[in-house]
Formats: sequence, structure tokens, C-alpha cells
Amino acid sequence: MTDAAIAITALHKSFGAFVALNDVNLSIPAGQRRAIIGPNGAGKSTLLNVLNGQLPCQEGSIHLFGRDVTKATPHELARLGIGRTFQISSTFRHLSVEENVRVAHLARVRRVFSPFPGHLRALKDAVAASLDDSGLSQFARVRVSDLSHGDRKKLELAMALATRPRVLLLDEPTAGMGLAERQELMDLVVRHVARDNLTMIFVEHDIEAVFRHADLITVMAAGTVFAEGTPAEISTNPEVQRIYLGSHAP
Amino acid sequence: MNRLLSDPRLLFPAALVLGGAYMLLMDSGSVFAVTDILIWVLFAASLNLLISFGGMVSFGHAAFFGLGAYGLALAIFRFNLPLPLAVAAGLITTLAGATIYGALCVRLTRIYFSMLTLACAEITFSTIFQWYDFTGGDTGLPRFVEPRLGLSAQHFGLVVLVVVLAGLLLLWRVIRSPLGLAIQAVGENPARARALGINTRAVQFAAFVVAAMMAGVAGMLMALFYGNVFPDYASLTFSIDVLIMVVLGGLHSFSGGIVGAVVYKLIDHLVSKHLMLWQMAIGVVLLMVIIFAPDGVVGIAKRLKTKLFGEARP
Repeated sequence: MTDAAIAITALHKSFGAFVALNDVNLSIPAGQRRAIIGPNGAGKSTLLNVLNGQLPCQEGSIHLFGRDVTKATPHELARLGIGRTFQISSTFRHLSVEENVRVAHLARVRRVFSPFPGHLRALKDAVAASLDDSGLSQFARVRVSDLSHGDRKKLELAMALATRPRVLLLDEPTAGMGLAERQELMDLVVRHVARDNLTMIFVEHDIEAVFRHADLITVMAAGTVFAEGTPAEISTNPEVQRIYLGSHAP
Repeated sequence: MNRLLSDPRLLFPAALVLGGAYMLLMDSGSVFAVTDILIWVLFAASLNLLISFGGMVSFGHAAFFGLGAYGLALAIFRFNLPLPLAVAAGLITTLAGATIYGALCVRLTRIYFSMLTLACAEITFSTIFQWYDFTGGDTGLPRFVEPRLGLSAQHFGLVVLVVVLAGLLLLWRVIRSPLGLAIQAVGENPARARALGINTRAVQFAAFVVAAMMAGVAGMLMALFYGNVFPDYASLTFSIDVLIMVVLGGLHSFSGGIVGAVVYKLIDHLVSKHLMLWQMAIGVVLLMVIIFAPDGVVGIAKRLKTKLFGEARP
């Protein structure tokens, strides 16, 4: 048996009396595009935050390509190949777009402690390629605080990709964007995921995008996995219709 | 002009030539004042690295100023070491303090980090203050060496100028290096930095040690300048003074600490004949800056320049 990219066993996470994740089991094969959907408070973001080490879990285990990473810290997990974007785009706002991407490349080549500016210059081509890939070249010198919401989301994605992750976690990658922008961003994501053969786990409220881009969908409710299936299965599952799609259906 | 002011390859040699000429040509009184300002400039610039770039507000930066000064003074006074070894002792003492305090302080962030730095500085201060047999307690170590090593005010001023410029150049290089970029990134958004694979605590520790070492160098210069050391060097007063300088000069720029130290010390020298008035003057200026110009004197200068010469090119 080949190891799954991500294998989660009996994961449990609570905040005080509130149980955010309750006995979550998930196995995501390498190269799969997995969507996680569910109503607000279902535990989707908490799951991503536990997966990248930002929140410690109380029980259960997480394996990344067969390696136990349950106790790993965020920066260790990043080095082991987990890249992510946040629900509210998280970038370095005082720095320029180019510098933001440069930090990501610097982290990838493990030159964060280097005192030599030459190590920054050596990343020039890689940075230019990242900017080009995500259509941000024209904003290279713009401070991120002057960037539009959509471009900030793109930048965050470019940074996550620059670390050359094996698993990409996206928390509502298109939240707050217009329709055209949303499609553009998802196309960008999918293009990269296909090119680098990444495993992708994305939390998304845009059901159209989920059905179009996911290989498999996990439906969460009340901190646990409620249903799992292909887009076709999920869209016809009456229980899912009731708890989730029903409230969103036109 | 713009390029000249921003390119250190021109700026540092220019400062060296002009400053050097000043030191050699002016009278002792002026040279004394400028030497004192220069030492504070290095001290403030080192704290500025932590605050403006690392996002770490230290309330106890004088601990390292004091450790540098006392490391050097004790090596000479208690162990009769020659100057080069005493300088090494000062650096090692500062490094030891920076390593221990740094490892402790970067475990926390924001106000908790600040309170830890304050606690570390208070420990340093009370140790120096109370260990009479070794540190001389509140009387310090007066005349542990000839003031200015027996050099003329002008020649010693020149030495200080060279050391301070070298220290500033080093700080500038650090900020422009990969480490500097990482320090800024971690300072602004540690969660993002961690998610990219950066060990944020280690980066903060590195920033802390670099800043502490430069403060230690400033402390050693001060000790040699006056030929004595006092517990005040590690006191809360010194920590707060240097903090005020950085805020006064302006956050988020390299020149903030430098300009702040100069402005603060100029007000000091101009008004210090009337002590009460001096403290009031600094208070009023600080209030105005924080309310009307949060980016400090440097921010005011930038806005003025934009008004006079139009939008600066990015």
C-alpha cells in the first residue's frame, strides 16, 4: 500500500467545552484535489489549522506521506511540504510584492539566517518566475498594503507555491472575490496543482467551484465527517442536501 | 541628491570624511557633545533594529549597554587585562547576556516580550547595583581607566566616529541581508512566516543578539569616553531614554533611531541648563510626535520632501 499524502486518525480538538473536531478520520491520496465543505462552525478551518500545526490537537494522529507529524510545529510542517493560504489573506503588508515572494523562496532554500545579500540576488530568477506565474509581475514593486483584495489572495497563493509544497491547504481561496476573479484564481490554483502534481485540500463555500475542481468532497458537520463522495454522489445525497446544500440552493 | 542620501556606499564615506573633519577641527566642548550623541546614535539604532524591523519592543535594552560597559571596565579594573582583551571581555559579557535573555524573551511576544525584557534589565541592574565587592555597587568603577584612554577629545572623537559608523554599516547590512528580510517578515506576520517554514523564534533570537551586541559596543564606548561606569548604564532610565529616541525618530525606517538620538540629545544639550524644563520639553515633543506624526521626525521630513519636491519615485 502506498502512503496517503495525508492520513488523519481519530482526531480530536476542543476549545474549552466546545468540541471543534470530534473523531475525524480522513485519508487523502497523493495528487488528489479534496474539497471540504460544511456549514459554518463545522470545523473546516480548525481542521486546516491542525493540519499545518498552528493548533495542537488533543487526540489522534496525523501522518504526512507515512510520517507521523502529529506533534510537528508549523515551520517543521512547512519544511516537510505543507503549504497553505489563510481565510483572511495573510501576507507581509509593509513589504513589496516582490519581497513577499522573496521571503517564501528564502524559506524554501533555507537561507533565512544568511548575512549575505548575494543569497537574495541568487533568488531573482525564481522570484520573477513566481510573479510571472501568478500574473503579479506588474505589481512587483508595489507595497502589499496598496494591493487589491484579489491580488493579495493571488500573492498569498504565489508565496505558498514558492515553498514548493507537496500538499497545498487552501482556506476559502476565493472568499470575498468577484465572480470573474474567483474563476481566474481557481484556474490558477488548478493549473499549478496539475503541473506540480500536488495534493490539494481546499475549504470553499462556492459550491460551483467545489463541484468543478474537486476529485472528492468531504462534508463536515458539527466537528465530524458527515459524508464523503464524488461531486456526483454528494450533489445527489439527500442528507447532504438537507444539512448543507439546502440552505445554499437557489 | 536622493540617491546620495540613500546609497550607503556614498553616505558612509561622506559621513566619515565630514565627521572626521569636524572632530579634528572643532573645539573640545563641541567634540565632547558630538561624541556623546554618536554613542547614543549607535545605541538607538540597535534598538531600532528590534522595534522597527523585528516588531519587538524592548523595555530593557540598556541591559546590554550596561553589560558591555561593565564587561570592559571589570576586565581592566579587577583583572588588569590590556585593552584589546578588555574589549573582548565586554563583547563576551554582552553576548552571554544576549544569549540567555534572548532565549528567554523570544518565547513570548508583544507586551509579554516587553515585560520580560524589562525584568531581565532589572535583574542586570540590581546585580550591578548590589554587588559592591565586584562591581562597586552604586559608586560604580570611577576612573577604571583614563577618560578617553588619555587621548585628546578630538582623537577619541575620531575613534568613536569610526566605530559608530562601522556599527551602523553592520546594522544596515543586516537589514539588507536575507536575515534582515526574514526579521522584517517575522516582525510583521509571524503566523505567515511560520507557514512558509521559517523558525520565527530563531529569527527573533538572531535579531535580539545582533541588537544587543551593538548596544554593548555603545556601552563600551561610553565607558571609555568617561573613564568610569555606573549602574545607571543598565538602568530603566537609560532603557526608556533610548526607547523614546526610537519613537521620536520614527518607526519603520533605518534612520529613525539615528535621527531620534540626535534630536533628543540636541534638545538635551540646548535645554539641559534647566533640568525641569528639559524633561518637560521632551515630554511635549514626544506627545506631539505620537499624536501628529506617528512616523516620527523621519516621517515629517519625508512628508515635507514630498510637499516640496513632489511624489518620491518608488
